[in-house]
Amino acid sequence: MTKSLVILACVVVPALAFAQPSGSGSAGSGSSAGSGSGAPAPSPPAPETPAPPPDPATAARKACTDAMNADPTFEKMVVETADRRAAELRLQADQEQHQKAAAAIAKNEKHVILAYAAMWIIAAAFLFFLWRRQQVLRTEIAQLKSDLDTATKDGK
Amino acid sequence: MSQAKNSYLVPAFATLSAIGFGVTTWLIYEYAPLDRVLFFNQKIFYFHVAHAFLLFAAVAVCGVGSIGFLKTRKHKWDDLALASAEVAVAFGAVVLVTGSIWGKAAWDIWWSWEKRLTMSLLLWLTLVAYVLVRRFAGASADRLAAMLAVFGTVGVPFVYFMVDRSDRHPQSGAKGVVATSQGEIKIVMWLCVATFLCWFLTLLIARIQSVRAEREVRELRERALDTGVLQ
Repeated sequence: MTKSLVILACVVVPALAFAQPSGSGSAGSGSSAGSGSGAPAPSPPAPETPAPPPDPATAARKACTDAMNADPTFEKMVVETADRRAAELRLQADQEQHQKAAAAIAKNEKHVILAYAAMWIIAAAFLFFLWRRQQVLRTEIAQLKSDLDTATKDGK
Repeated sequence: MSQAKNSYLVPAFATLSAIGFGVTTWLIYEYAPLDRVLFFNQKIFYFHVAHAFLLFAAVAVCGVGSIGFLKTRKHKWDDLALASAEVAVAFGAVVLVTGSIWGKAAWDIWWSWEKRLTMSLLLWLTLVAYVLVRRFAGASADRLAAMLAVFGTVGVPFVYFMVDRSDRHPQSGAKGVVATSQGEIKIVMWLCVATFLCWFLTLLIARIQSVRAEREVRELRERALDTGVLQ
């Protein structure tokens, strides 16, 4: 009789446990284990975390790196490209500097014109002063000579 | 120097000056190389230095004329001194103004109270004082003005040699800017000096004629006063 009950228990309890939903299945089995059956029930295996799919970019990068490392001329090509780019940048900087120098020269042109203008203004002012004085003197000399001639003639 | 020669000399020197102005201006812009330090504003050098040379020449002529007048009391020396003093004032004004503009372009300052510039200004002010004394102090001030001219002439070597002791101004003499400059610059520079020498002589002779005309007017006035034509 006892033997029959044990067999029944061994058949029915797992059947009931499987009939329960998965969340409560372990509780049911636990309660049955705690009910004094004597042998612990085997726990179900922990679910495995799925491995992330392989990144295509990483794979491509690795393939490229391997290919570049395998090519002995690659490093030289990289250095040459960097040098060429640096030379271009230097040329650009030189051109900018030349443009600034050209602007400075243009600025200096203003001062040269200013100095020339000052020289000619002073020269013109002096010439005008000379010419004006000469005109006044000529007129005055002619007038005085005429007056003196008239006076001399009248005196005679 | 006769009157006929005078009337011929002024147009002759004026013509030479006009040709020289055209030629030297073309040479300055087209022939003379661009200075590597001062760039385009170095072009001021050609007429600034030429005017400075002729300023010294004009002051020297004024001094010689004044000494001659003080020694002989002959009017021809006095006329020469007065005419050259006025021309020196004009040339000195050009030197100071163009130098100031060049200083602004090269060193970004209009004026500096350094030894060279201050001495040049004092020399120019002495000449201005001479002209003012001659103009406003009457005929009797001619000897006083002559002494002032001699005093100014003595200052010329100080101004010239002060360049070597100057703080900023370009140097002169055997190691100076003119002597050590490139061949093309030197050629253009001396052509400018020759041109402005013609210009200086034009102004000097024309002004001597003017001074003589002033003297003639004074003599005619005295005669007119003596004869009763003028009251």
